[in-house]
Formats: sequence, C-alpha cells, structure tokens
Amino acid sequence: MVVRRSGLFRSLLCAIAFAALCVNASAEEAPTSLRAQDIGAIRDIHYGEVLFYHYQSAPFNALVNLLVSQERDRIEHHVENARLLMGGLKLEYGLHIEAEEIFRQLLTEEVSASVRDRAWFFLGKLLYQRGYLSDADQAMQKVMAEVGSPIHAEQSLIRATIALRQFRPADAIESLADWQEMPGAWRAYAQYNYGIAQMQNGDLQEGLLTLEKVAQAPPVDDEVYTLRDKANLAIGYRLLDEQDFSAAKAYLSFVRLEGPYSNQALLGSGWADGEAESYQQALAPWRALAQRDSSDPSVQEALLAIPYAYGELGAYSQAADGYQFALDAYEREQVNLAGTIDSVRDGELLDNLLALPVRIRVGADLKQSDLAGLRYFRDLMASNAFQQTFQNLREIHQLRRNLQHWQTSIDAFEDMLSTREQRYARQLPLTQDYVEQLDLDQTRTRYNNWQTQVGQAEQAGDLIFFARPAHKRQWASIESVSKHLSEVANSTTVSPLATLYGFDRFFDEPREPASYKSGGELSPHARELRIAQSVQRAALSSNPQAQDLMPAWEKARLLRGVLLWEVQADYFARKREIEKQLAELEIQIGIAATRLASLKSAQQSAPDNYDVLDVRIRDGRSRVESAFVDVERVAAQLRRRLESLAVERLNNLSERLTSYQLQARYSLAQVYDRAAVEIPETADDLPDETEVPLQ
Amino acid sequence: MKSFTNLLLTLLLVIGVASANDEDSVSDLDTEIQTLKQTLLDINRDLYILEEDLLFPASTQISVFVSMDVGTFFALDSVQLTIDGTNTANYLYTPRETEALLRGGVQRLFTGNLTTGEHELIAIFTGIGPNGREYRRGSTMVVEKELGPKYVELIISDRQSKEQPEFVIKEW
Repeated sequence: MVVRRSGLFRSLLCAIAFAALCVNASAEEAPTSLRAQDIGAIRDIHYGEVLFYHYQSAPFNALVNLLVSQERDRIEHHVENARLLMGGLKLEYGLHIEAEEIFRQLLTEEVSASVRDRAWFFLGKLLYQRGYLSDADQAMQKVMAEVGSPIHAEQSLIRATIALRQFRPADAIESLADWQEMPGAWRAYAQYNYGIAQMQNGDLQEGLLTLEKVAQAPPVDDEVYTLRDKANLAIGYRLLDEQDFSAAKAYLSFVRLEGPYSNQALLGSGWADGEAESYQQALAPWRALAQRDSSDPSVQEALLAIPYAYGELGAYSQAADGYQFALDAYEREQVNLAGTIDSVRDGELLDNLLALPVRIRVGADLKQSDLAGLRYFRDLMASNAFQQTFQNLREIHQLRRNLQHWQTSIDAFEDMLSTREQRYARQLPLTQDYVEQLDLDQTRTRYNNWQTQVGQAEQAGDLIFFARPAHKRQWASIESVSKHLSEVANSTTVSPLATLYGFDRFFDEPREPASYKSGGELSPHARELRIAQSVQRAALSSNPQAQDLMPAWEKARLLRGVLLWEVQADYFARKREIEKQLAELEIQIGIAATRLASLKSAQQSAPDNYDVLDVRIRDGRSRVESAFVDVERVAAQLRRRLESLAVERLNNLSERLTSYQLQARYSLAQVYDRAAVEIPETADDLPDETEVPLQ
Repeated sequence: MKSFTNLLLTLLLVIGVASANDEDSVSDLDTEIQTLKQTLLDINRDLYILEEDLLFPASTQISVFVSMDVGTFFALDSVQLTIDGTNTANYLYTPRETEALLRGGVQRLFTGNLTTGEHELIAIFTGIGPNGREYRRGSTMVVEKELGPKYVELIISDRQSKEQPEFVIKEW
C-alpha cells in the first residue's frame, strides 16, 4: 500500500505541476498586444468597429468586419496593424495555416519594427499552440518587447513553459527572472511557474519559498484564489513527498473546501495523517471526501483509503464493510459509465453538451446536472483532443446558424429586388416624362439673367431694384399717383422757368425711379428729380387752376421721401439677402444638375444594376447551399470523432474503476484473512465513528 | 519463437500504420475545417456587402457609432438615439461590451437611410456618473447629409477639469 501511495503522490504532483502549465497556456485569452494603447488613436472608424468585436473575443464577427472594411477601402490609415490584426484574429479563430502565412509576410524590413515584433510574437504563439516548441521558442526569442508590458509577460511565460516541457528548468528560471516586473495577473502565474522551475532545477527550498508567496497572496479575485489553492496543493504534496507530514497537512488545509482542488487537498490531507500512522485523524478528511461525487478520481481513491485506515486500526469488520461499500459504489459507477457510453453512441450526450452555454462554469453549473453524461464533462474536457474537437463542433454549429440566417436574408433580398424592379418599371415612364419636361438649361439662363440684373442694379445704385416686394408695390402706387398729377399739371401752362429747368423733360421720363448711390449720396437722377419737383411746385403755384392739387402733390412727395428713406435703410440687408439667395440658387441648380445626371445615369444603368444584384443574390444563395452541405459533412465527421474520443476516455475511466474494483476485492480478501488471525485489542482503539458513511 | 517475433513486429507495424492513418485523418479534418471556416468568412463578407448595397446604398446611408475614452466619471448603461424626432435605436450594454468600448473599440449603434439635407440627431446616454449616482445626459447635433455615406460618432469622454463626463457628437 505504501508503494501505491508513493506512486499516487508522485503522479499527483506531476499532474498538478503540469496543470499549472496548462493554465498558463489557457490564460492566453485575447492577444494582449493589440490593445488600444498599442494601436494609438483610431483614424478610421471602421477599424474601431473591428476592435469592438475583437475585444469581446468574437473573432468571427471581427474578421467579417475587417474583411468588409478592407474590401471597401475603409481602413487606409491602419493598413499594417490591420494585417497583423487579421493574422491574430485568424489564429484566434483556428485558421492556423492562413495566420502563419500572414505573420511570415510581415517579417520583412518593409514593415515597422513594432509590427514585425508582434508578428514574431504571434508566430511564436501559433507554433507553440501547434506543438512546434523549438520553433516557437526561436520565434519568441526575436520579440523585442518592453519589460513590464503584457506582451513581454506572455512571451516570458511561453518561453518558460517550453523550457519546462523540454526539461530545461534553468532556462525557464532565466525567462521568468523579471516576473516581479510583470503586470496584473501575469505576475501571479509567472511567480508560480518560477517556483515550479526552481523545484525542477533542484532548488527545493527556494521553490517552496516562491510558491509559498503565491499561496499567501491576497485573494483579490477568483483567479488568484484558484492559483493560491493550486500553490498550497503543490507545496502540500511536495512536502508529503519529502515526508514532512505535519507541514504538508497545514498547507493542504489552506485549500478552499469548495474550490476546484478541494478533493485532491482532502485526499492529501488524509494521506498526511495516514503516512504519520494517525489513521483515526486520516478518516475525517477521507469521510468528507467520500460524500462527494463518486465520478471524481480522488473520491474513488478515498473509498479505498477509508477501509484501509480501518484495517490499520484493526477494525476489520468496518474495513470489510468499507471495501464492500467501495465495491458497490464502483459498480454503480460502472453502470453509470456504461449508460454514458450508450448515450454517447446514440448522440444524446453530444446534444446535451452542445446545448450547454458557451461559458459554462464546469464545477458549479454541472454539479447539480441530471443530464446524462454531463457529470463526466470535466473528465472529457481534460483530454486536449476532445476539447479541441468539441470546440470545433461548436463553431461548426455556429456556422450552420450563420448560414440559416443568410438563407432567410437571401429570400428577403430576392423579394426586395423583385419589388424594386416592379416599382422601377412603373415609375420609369413617369420619370422619363418629368425629365423630358425639366429644362434645366432654361432655369440656368434665368438665373444668369437675374445675376446680370443684380449686378447692373448694384452698379447703377438702383435702390428700388433691391427693395422688398411691399416697398416695390408702394413705389409703383406713388409713381402712378405722380404720373396722374403730372398729367393734370401738363394740361396747364408751363412757365418758361419750368421749361428752363427741364420740367418738360422730367415729366417726359417720370418712370425712371429716383435712386441713391450706396453710401447715401444722391445720384444725379435723384438730384434732377428734386430740382424738377421744386420747379413743378413753382409751376403749380403760378397756375391758379392747379392750386387745388398742391396738397396731393405734397403728400405724394412726402410719401415718396419716406419710402425712399425706408428702402435706403433696408438696402444693405436686402442686397445681402438677394446675394445669398442667388448663391443658394446656384448650389441648388448644381445639385439639381447632378441629380438629373445621376437620374439619367440610373435610368441607363438600373436594368444592368438589377441584373448584377440578381446575379450576386443567386451566387450568394448557391454558395450558402453548397456551404451547408460541407457544414453537415464536417459536423458529422466531428461528431464521429468526438464519439470515438468520448468512448475512449470513458473506457479509460471504466478501466481505472476496474483496477480499483480488483484492488478492493483483493484488500477485502486480505481483511478477511487478517480478521481470521487477529482480534482488536480494546474497543477504545476504534475510531469514534465506527460506521462507514453511506452515500 | 521466430514466428512469434515476426507476428509481434507485424502487429507493432500495423498499430504504427493505424496510428499514422489516424493522425492523417485528423490532420485532413483540421484542414477541411479551416477551409470551411474561411469559405464562411468569404460568404459573410460578400453577403454583408450585398446587404449594404441593397438596404443602405451609399447615397442615403448614415451610420452612428459609439465610443468611449477613459470612462472614469461615467459607467455606460444604455444609449437612445433619435433622428428627426423618431426613435431609431435603443441599446443596453453588457459589461463585456462596455469593457470593449473602454479598450478602444467602436460600436456601430445604427445604420439607416436619410435624404440629403439637414437632420437633427439626439443621443441620450444613461449610466452611473460621478459619486455613483444615476446619470442621464443628452447631446444634440444637426448633421448635413450629403450624397456619400455619412458616419457620425457619439463620443463619451472625461472632462478632467470639471471631473464630469463629456458627451460629444463628431462627424466623420
């Protein structure tokens, strides 16, 4: 039994140390080197949109967005980074072949040093993931990352992991030498692996001290708490190996009772007492462990350990009961496993697994699950091949949903295009009539005339031209009244003085409006008008028959003056207004011309465009249908592979149970033999609780 | 004894060949999966472009984006977008999405069609402001839609001097 225990300890220690490295590998969530601070300000908004999906670890959406933006030339300011991002996203999405091609293209002198560095980094990471450890190490060696940056932390951790896998602990220690400089959670992982590397390198005490610091780190979040548990477990088992049982038990007691390492800690804690031959104390953690899920290897181990302790205490009856209880539990587990294997073969298990949420918490969410086989999910996922194949199948299922979405959309596209074609056919004759009637040249000529008139009026200082419509109407009324008065006045004798001052001439040309030059100075015509008015007044005063017209004449003169004053005051505002309207008119004529050209062009190209769109829609439909066939074929292959891997894994679990069953039967026979020749000395030697706990 | 050794060697060879065949088939499957994924990416790219051409032609297209800078004084919960008095988008953010915005991502909130000319755009941001209090602020802008596609960005940033969030609308 001692031999078996030692073997168990060693295998557990190896498993724990290896698990640490796996955790580091899985800690590579989103590539850290492409964070906002690395890419600088976003100069193309569509590049920011790609990053939005990338930062949510949604590589498919990010890739589609990036491909669309590249096709549309929307990210001209981030060309290099976009290529690097494309490689990183393809790597994340499992497109290793294309990702590698992109990274290798970026390893030239033509790209900037920072992009080239990150290309080396991603290439190293890719090679590491594919198992080409030496090549990965060489690529990582070329990354010139700044100490303290996330990319440097990840680079160091990957290099250290490779070194540990290749049994070069001294190199791992060198890679992690500046772990204290690392940011955030990277530091805790690096410190942990640093301790493991020290122990592998023979510096046991130093390694333990390093791990002890991890084990005592403040548990700021669940990730750090889990790492703490793992460090305590690693120290505990290492001390067990060193036969320092009390210290081992102390460290194992720090592991959380509900954490992912609690079962191993309880098992180890029992063995710490067992190795010190304190079997009564050993029973407490083992009994607690025996109450847990019997599919867990630690629980299965505890089921054997409990009767072993009873046997060592001389309680042969309890030991025999314990072995029998273990045999019954193993048998039930075998039945469960057989049932699970059946459910794998009929596809039920895979359907259940695929129905699980993507980000499932294996421990907490599956513990209470009654679905067939889900209690073995953790065991199955422990196999890298199963995990990868399962992930692939999940992605293929997502692709199937994506194709279903497009299938529905393409139906809608077809309907939409058909509706548009019909509407176009209906609208075309009307539009053609409208276009034919629309004489934009005539509009432009009228605009040009307007512009000329405005220019001339401005030059001539014509106030009334710029007057508001109301003022113009008033001016016309006054003109009409003046004309009427003039006709009356003309019927009277005109004094020689009036003739002398050009009175006749004035009344011959009464329609010419008075005007001011800009700036308020009287124009020559206005001056002449004033003289003429004075002369007219004189003429009227000398004509007794026209004396009665004087008040009306004066009133007309007054109104004319008031109106001229108002028009003059409004002159500049009106001028600006008219100029602005002219400018807007010019723009509108331009827009109209563009639209007309666009309309004419659309008329010519629309039938062709509809044809092109129709071809694109039909092409899309055909590609979607073809991809559906491929998706179904690959999904079927993946399902077969997963079934095979699951059955293989479950058979391994069954074989392990079979070996436990053999061991239990052999130990039971031994107990009977020993019971036949030995009798317990006193009842006081028995543990307080003499009954084996039943599940 | 010799025949037993031969049998053993043959068996080992068979196992070796079987194992190599398994690896080949796994490798073939892996390549096939990669090809299929790439095909789907290409299909998605082309169909997204087709959809854009059909539903949101460049002459009338308007897209509204949301971005965040720093975010010390404001934790975003939701955004409501109104164009010319019509409510066009309401979006409730998940923690994962706000984290992506804080890291520099830009979210496309809305894509639609507008005629050329002026349009009033109102964005109302809801979340947790300074001192952990509920915060609701609006931002208004009149945008000029021309013949090409129009991109508008709603930017949430920190105004350090006043220790308050700032909401800006930017035309691209």
